[in-house]
Amino acid sequence: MDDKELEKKIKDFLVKSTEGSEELKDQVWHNIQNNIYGGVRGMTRMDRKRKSKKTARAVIGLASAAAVAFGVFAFGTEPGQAAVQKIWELLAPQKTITQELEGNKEDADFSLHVRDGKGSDQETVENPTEKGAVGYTIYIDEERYKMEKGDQVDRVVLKEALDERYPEVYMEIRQMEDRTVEEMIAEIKGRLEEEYDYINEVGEVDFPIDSYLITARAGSDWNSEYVKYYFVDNGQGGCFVIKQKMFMEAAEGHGARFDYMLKEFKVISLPE
Amino acid sequence: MIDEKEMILRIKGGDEKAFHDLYEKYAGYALRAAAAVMRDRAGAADAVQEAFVRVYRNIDSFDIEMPFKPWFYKILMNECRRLMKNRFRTVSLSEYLESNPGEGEPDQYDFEEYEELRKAVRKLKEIYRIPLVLKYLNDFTESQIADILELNVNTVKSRLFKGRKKLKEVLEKLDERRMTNG
Repeated sequence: MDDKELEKKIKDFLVKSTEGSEELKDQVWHNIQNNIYGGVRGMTRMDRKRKSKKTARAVIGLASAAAVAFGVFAFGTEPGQAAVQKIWELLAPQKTITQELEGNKEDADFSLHVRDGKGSDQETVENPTEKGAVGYTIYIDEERYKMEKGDQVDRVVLKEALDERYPEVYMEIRQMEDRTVEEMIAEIKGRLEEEYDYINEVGEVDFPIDSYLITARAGSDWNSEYVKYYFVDNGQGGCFVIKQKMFMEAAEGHGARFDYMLKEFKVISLPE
Repeated sequence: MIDEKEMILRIKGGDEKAFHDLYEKYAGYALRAAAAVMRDRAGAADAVQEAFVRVYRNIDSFDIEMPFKPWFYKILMNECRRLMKNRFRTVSLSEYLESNPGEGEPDQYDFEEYEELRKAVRKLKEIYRIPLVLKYLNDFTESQIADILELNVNTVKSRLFKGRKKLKEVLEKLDERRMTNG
């Protein structure tokens, strides 16, 4: 075997034997972004091994259990109000979630919150629900945060407010029934460009949810304002705009906790 | 896509999209090189992640007149070696095996030869394996490898020679076996 042939064999082997490594590219980029721009730092090896599934940004729907409920209502035998009741019955009221924060794992109990399309508080099912409306479910870490429900916007805020010297920290969920993801991206981007010095249009992401992400920050100081906007299609021509507001130093703490809560966010569509 | 110099100037100016473009350009082969050096895909992902974070944080110190690729690979190889040291100190055997399912599968390739090479490359000492990866996977010249690994060019040449020799012996033994077995 001459040197040329040997060199070719070595080269071919190295190229061939490392082909699969490139599959991790998207996941690594996600980790880099979180590390640099905030969010969940250093995913575990197990997280990374999970294939990143690129699902369409269309209707996220509710996971299998609730899909059963939709099946029942597709026949139009029960009103939407009961659909919400059914979701409460089908989903666990509490979940223990393992979070990885700045390299440390911790377990936290998250509580279920359901919101129908009308914006009524659906922790009870006393309010009638409009048929065909789109809502969502989410699990909240109630040891540290509480959900404040409004007419148009829900906010997850700190249970114990921070000192005045800290910028605001919250996660806001707003549904725009008549505005598409693309329209809202354009609008919010324009607004961010006026308000912040650094904008990063990250693009489509699959963590914490399948969505489109834009982040912005006012500077690089510990207390510089930092916002993340996730845009999620509601499957009916509208979208959810989820805003996380914090400051740079809180990105790996509150920012990561918000992401773990958002990971549990599901769009629900009540039957016509 | 904009040229690399322009890309780096933009990153220095805080352009996050340019940083993503740079990542897209180098990440694929960086992951391959790190996997070949570390013999562990999950570890390779950690190394590439850390290397890019370091690039981002130290880009101001990078001389725009110098080529980026060798600078980047110097950071990457340092990360690989740092993580390998830590790994051998801290990772249990089961965790290592779990995260180390092996390299890609050889479809229509000469399976026997592939397997022999795989075993031989895995057995190669780090001092021989790293220069081979940089030369044959990443197409660096001997003087660039010397710069990346902070070695004398003659040392690099010698290590490449010895690394190749070990692999050649393995392949020649395989040929002999094949001849003997008909």
